[in-house]
Amino acid sequence: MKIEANKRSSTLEIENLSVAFGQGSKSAVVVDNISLKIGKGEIVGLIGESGSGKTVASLAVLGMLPRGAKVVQGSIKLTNDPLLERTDDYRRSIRGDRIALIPQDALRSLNPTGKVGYQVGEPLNLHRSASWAFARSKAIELLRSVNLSDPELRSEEYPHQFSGGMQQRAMIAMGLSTEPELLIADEPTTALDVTVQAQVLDLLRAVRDQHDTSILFITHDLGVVANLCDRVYVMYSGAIVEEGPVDQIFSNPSHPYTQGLLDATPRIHGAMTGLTPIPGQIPLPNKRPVGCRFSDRCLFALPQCASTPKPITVGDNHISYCLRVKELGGSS
Amino acid sequence: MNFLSKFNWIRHGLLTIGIMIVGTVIVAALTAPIISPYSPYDLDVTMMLQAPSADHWLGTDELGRDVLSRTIFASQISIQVALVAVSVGVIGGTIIGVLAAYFGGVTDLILMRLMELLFSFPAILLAIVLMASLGTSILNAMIAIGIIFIPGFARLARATTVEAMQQQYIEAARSVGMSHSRILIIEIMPNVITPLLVEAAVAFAYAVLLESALSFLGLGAQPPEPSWGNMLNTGRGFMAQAPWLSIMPGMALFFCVLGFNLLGDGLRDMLDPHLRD
Repeated sequence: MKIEANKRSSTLEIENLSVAFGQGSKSAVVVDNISLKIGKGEIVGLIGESGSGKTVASLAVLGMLPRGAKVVQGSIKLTNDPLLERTDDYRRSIRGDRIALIPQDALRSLNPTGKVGYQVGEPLNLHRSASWAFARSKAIELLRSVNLSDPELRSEEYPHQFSGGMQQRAMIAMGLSTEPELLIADEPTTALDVTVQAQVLDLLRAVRDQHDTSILFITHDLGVVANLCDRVYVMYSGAIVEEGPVDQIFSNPSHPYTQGLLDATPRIHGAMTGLTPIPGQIPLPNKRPVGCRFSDRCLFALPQCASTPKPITVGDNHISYCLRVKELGGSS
Repeated sequence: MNFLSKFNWIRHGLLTIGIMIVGTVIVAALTAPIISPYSPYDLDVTMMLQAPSADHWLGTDELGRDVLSRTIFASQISIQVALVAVSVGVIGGTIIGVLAAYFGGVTDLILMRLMELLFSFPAILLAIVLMASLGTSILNAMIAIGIIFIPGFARLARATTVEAMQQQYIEAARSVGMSHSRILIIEIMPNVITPLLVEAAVAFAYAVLLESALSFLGLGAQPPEPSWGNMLNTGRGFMAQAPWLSIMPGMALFFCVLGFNLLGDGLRDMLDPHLRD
């Protein structure tokens, strides 16, 4: 079954992607040679601390890298469409149509001067040349599908009249309006309280089940990942350090960084020993240690860790980039 | 009409008063030939400097012209000048300000330094200099006053555009694939337009005042064309014998300026999207 999943056509295929800020000797490689695949209808988590490069990677997919940043190598394919070889205009035309972004802060992502209904229907008007009247009626439908009560009335309201959870659901409705192939959710639940967070996660799962949408879920919240994702990529300091199915990542974390992340996460059923923080801080892009970039914070680091880490298969589709993974045996 | 019935006139009391005053002035200007009892140009040497009476409600001036009629007709000039001048200011200023903010860098630097240069002159002085070089006519007065307004609107438009462009919803708009022009028109303009509208109403008051000042100095409306400014100037010489010559245009000017100011303040309170209900 796992093999079958792998054989399915992939919606997003990133290969050896590197993104750098600045030029020449001053350049900082923020995303370093990452490869990532999302199958159709798959929910993939991208976990990492702040500054690990996960948001920059998603911006590269959208073609919205900030000024000064550029892709230095690699390829990004959206259902076999090589995006990096396309013009800016073409990439703009698929944003909001074939790829949609659900941003972190919904309130600040909605224009305060526009009625919610119009904003939710806007991508339809923009990409499908739908009339405003049709876009609006469709927006009401979408708002209803994300469980907003009284969508006819609500669509006539302004964003500040919505609660945080309602705003986030409106953003999801907007993202769904064109039934995109890929939904990029950049920490969409961070600003929400736990009960609303659960509703939003249920909603995303329902979206996947109904429309077979692929979702790239970017977060630093391991609880959310365990709850929602099929597969997980763990990113550290611009590189992927471990990837695998979600149950394996949690039951058998095979990279000291992943283990560290899990140990630093509070759990209800865990022993009351307190949380174990990872010592030190994420290194700056130009101050990374040679070889394994986690080695300066790793409790298990050896001199050999100064060589470039290679992928080591730990289980079905489960790959770790830690050289000592076999001897450490996933004990945490 | 739905909007009108929902509108809370009591809550926006100042706005209501402003609208009433401005409305009166505009109606007077539009219907001047109908409502004024006499022609503003007709001389009557037998009726010079008459005090207010049943025939001439507000008296007559030094050439026997009806002061009420002249005051009513003068509102035409005031409104006309203010309308054209404010339009010149708003359109010119918005284009300059939005472009400066959107393109930034050298464009921004050059445009805004130019605006500051214009801004550094006192308004009346700049108007007089412009009138002196353009020649004295009412059309040139409109242009001169319009040019005076450009820097203020440009700065306002630039500031609000810069602020709007940093907002995350502009990023979000880019993420749904909007083009630059669509972002400017749909996402940025609604945020820029409200402060500009409010400023325009206040500028209207100022334009009326400036036109009167120019006409008072003999640079705006030329006699026998009636303008509150040149009527005041004439009245100045007859303060003791015929105070009604100055009082009426003075009052008209006062209420017109007050009306536009109240309108501007009221609009600001009403148009703030965070205060909408």
